Amino acid sequence: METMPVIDEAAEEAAASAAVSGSLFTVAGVRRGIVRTVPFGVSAVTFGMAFGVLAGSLSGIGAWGAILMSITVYSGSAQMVGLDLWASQAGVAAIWGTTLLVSLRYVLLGLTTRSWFAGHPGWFRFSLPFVMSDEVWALTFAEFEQRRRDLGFFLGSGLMMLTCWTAGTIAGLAIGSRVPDPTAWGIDFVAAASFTGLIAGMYKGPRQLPPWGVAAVVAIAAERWLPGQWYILLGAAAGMIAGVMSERRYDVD
Amino acid sequence: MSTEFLITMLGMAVILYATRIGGLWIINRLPASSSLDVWLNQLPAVTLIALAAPAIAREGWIGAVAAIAIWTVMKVNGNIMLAMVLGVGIVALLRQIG
Repeated sequence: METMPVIDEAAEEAAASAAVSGSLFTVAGVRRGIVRTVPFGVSAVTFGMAFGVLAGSLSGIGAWGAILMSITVYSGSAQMVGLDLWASQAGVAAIWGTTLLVSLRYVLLGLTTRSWFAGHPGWFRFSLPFVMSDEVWALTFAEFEQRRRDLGFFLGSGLMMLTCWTAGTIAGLAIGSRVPDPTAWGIDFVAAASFTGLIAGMYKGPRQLPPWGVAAVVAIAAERWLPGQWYILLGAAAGMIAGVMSERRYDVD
Repeated sequence: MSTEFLITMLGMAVILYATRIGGLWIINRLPASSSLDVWLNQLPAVTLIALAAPAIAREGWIGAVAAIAIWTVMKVNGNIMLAMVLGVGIVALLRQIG
């Protein structure tokens, strides 16, 4: 992981000691979250534009509908799939069902955040997760792994993504079909690239490779051959089961 | 904006909010236990793999080259921003060629 210069040793130590019992919440953390999320913000703007263009081309949505959707739903995958189904007049129930399936991964991610919120007011747990995306979770996870346990980072990162996603949507609506193509600069690969880097950072030894391989193979196969969006859940579940099985084997040895 | 779209959108917003607070809500209602932690400790890496692996596979050999480059940078100096920029750059460049 990247080593950052120690700006404030006292704050650094306080954050490290909070490791045992939760986390801090500082303005500096919020600011750091915003800054660190800039590259992902670029990607969010670009995809927001693609969403804005698509929304603008469909009837019944309108500019305000699209903008309101990006603020309240705030999920590229769910909104794209949702509009796709809206265009094919699939009906409300089908759209909601697909939305749930696409979004269930957030439940998995949320399961890992207990210690982030420990010691903070209860209403934090019902407000802050509103800004969670895959990237926001992943970046915050990496921060906490490096003992910079500051929940402010999560909020800053999430607000940055929400703002960029919404700004992109507005831009897409405004300029129509003349938006830049995300694939031209590899921007569609930003999330995958950062996730790969984070995975590499989590690598501690060869015993992790079998379960990780299981997760990858199941996810790839499910994405290729199963209809819908089952691949994230199936890949994660298969990898988790394989991981626990291999841990038990090592424990016995 | 049609009424039907408004209802559709609000429903989606509720679903997204529920899934975003859901995991934390569930885990805070379960007693902390080491056997549960064994499962939860697996979750971050395998979830990221399930998200990233299909995206890399879709790129074919270009994705493989990018992934190896990212992994190498992470092992050599651990700078994730550098690793990410390099990976995205490789994909952008090789797409022009391949």
